[in-house]
Amino acid sequence: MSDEHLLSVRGVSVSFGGVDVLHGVDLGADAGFTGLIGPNGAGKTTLFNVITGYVRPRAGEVYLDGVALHGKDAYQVARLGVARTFQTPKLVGEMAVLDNAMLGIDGRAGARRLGRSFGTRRSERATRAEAAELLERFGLGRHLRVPAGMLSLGSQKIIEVARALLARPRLLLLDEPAAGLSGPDVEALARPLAEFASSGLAILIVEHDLELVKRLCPTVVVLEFGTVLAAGAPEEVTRRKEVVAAYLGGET
Amino acid sequence: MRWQWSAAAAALVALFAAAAVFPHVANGYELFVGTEIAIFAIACLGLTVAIGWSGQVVLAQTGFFGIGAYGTNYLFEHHVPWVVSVLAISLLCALCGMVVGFPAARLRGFYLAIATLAFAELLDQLFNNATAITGGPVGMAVVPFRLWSLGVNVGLWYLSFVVLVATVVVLNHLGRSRLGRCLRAVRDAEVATGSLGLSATQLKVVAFVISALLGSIAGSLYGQALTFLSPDAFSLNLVIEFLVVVFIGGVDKLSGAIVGAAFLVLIQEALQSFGAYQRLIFGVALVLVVRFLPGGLVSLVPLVRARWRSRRSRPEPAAPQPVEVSAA
Amino acid sequence: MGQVIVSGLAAGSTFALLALALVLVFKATNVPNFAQAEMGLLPAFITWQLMTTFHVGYALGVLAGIASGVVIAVVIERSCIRPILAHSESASVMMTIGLFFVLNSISGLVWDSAPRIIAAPFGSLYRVAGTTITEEQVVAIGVGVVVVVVMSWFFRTHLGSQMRALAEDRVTPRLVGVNPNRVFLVAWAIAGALSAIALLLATQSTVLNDQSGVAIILDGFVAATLGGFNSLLGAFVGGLVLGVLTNLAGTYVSTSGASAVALLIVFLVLMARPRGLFGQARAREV
Repeated sequence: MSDEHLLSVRGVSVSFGGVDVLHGVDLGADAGFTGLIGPNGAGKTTLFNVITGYVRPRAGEVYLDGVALHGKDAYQVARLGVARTFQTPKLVGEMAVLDNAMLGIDGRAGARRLGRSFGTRRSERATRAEAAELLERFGLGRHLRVPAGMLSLGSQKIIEVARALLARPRLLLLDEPAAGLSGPDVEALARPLAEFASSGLAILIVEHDLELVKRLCPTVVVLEFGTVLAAGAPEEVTRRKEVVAAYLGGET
Repeated sequence: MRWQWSAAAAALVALFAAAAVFPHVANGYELFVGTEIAIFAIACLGLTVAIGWSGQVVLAQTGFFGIGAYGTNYLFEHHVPWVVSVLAISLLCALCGMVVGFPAARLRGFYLAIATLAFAELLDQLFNNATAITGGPVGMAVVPFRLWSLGVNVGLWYLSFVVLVATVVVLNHLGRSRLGRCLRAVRDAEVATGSLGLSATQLKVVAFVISALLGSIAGSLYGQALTFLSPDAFSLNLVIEFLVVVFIGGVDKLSGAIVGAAFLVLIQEALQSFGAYQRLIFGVALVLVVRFLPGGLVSLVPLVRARWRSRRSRPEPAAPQPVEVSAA
Repeated sequence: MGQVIVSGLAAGSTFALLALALVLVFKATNVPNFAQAEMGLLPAFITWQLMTTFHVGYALGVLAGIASGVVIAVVIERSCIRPILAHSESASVMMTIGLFFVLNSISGLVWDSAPRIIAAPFGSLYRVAGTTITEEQVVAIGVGVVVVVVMSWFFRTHLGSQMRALAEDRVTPRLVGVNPNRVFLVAWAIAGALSAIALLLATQSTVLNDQSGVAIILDGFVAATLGGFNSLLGAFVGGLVLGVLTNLAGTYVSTSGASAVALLIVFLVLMARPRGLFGQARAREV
């Protein structure tokens, strides 16, 4: 096989009510950042849903390091090493920031051992410490006990990213993580992510902020109307005629 | 921090002392009421886990309650040691909980309520018709169980109290650790649970089984509190009573089940003297409470606190502003 | 056998009307109204009282009963339901349970549990294809059909489409000028009328006492659940099917078998189709 990517998406097609939302999508991603861009409605979130097991494709396959992800339930896919964030953060608003992050560890494959399930003092302390440490890296150290719902949208998105990272995934899918974030917040987010990316984590990121994409991602994939329009280095891809045309219809 | 621990320890000792002394200072009726409160609290703690923690509105508790009462009594009648009977029936209810819990996990809101209500009603029918086991509408005499050499009612009180305390301790621990977090995620962020490697269905079933277990154990105890079992005790009325407990006490705190149980039992006993007007008064009271305190009686607590604070002329705490986090 | 089916259809028509009331109230205000049958019970008693003490004719008595059903529903909606709608659903459920107790005990205290009979002028018998059908049964089924037709027409009117819009989406219709308070009021008023009709039909072939509401409320919920709380037709068909099946069970199995069948049906249907027979799946937002 010519392409032995960590994440391999082959010929994925999805229809909702007779309308093709994704059509024959091929995509490969490896350790480091890969950008997924395209105008609104191109099917980017749907592709995420297919990879993470939230949506069953009509056709096509998804492999993570050779292991099939397609046909599995979302929680099974997650246990194989896939984590994600959502366009609007899905946190437990009334629960503390720290506890929300700890959920990422709670779902880890090893966490379902009996000791962990019953919550022995030692395992709880370890979980808490690990989550707190990562949240500090993201600059949320002062707000660990605050109910997550009381923080701003930007902070909530950061919590969700931390939660996803705590699951120790091989593949991380970020759905518009920078949307609604201020400049300093984006920095707070990007720096730790870059560190994870350079130590082997594959990060597939949907973003509309093209500057951020160009800065972080050595490769981007352009999606439009459910098909892959182009793939390659960002400067080169964004200069292509078809891509520019697709975006002129969408946004700047 | 340390004084909180000694205060809690002192309170616990006082509580146990009071419980130990209770049967000797209370008359038979008061002892019965106290025991009833403890038993109802145990059953409703199960509902706290199912409804409050995992967000599943299940109305099946009376079914497990009834199985606990009838089943334990039946086995005990047939010379199975009482404690073994209780454990065996609890296991049966846990299995039932699994069987019902899996399909129930796919249902939401009203459909879940109706499906579990149907389950409870079916069991009610069963209690009425399985005359060989339950004695049908005529009922079944309860074989009294003696704990060591204590009086039947005294022993039952101690047993119920200890089970209640044990349940609270265990649930409190579970609630503050992985299970509690995961169930809250199922309740408030179910969409995200899959992405976290958590099976919402499995977690819901776990909550349902815990609830069934507690309902069954409470039922076993209740069977001993009565001298005679009849299907009336486990009918629709009981479903409503459990619901009222949960509403009054507040559905997601453990203390809510205990407070709610105490309220319900005491109010019902107080209303006994009104005879035919009982239902009317209960209904009117319920309507008024819901109309003016839709958050349940528990919502009185923050209200009272706020009044108390303003009376001491401390300014009301400002509404919390969303917190911006910027990189250090 | 035909007899059983016909009486099943007649009973089912009653369930269907109650189910329609339940669905209407649920879709409009998101409240499963446990007091729905009791809200129709008082009007039935009022009809009986008017006919017995004041010698009012049947038609007038029925009309007065239905009118009282509307009034009771409106009063309840205004004073007890609307103020707490903003709160949790469990609060609304508790309210309807409390109202159930209040209305049920009022019926019991004022009219006690001695059975009453409303003297309906439907005495004829018809023979169709070897089965005897009473005029009462024809009336029951006929009224059910008429109501469904009228309701379908209603939902095509301006007010009706406002009601449907609010049921789908709580926010947007307000932006285009829909007054939700008026819609809630009308929904409850219509449901009040429907419950009164349902109770009058239910008690015309049997006796009227303070347990008449309790006897059919569960069937009403089951019928509504079968229909998926989405379509009028679903609720109506659900009610008819339920009536026939419970009657068959009651005749060929046992009398207690009847209610067990109803429960088993709803249990099994929900296991197989978590959204009811006619329910629509809601797209999940991810």
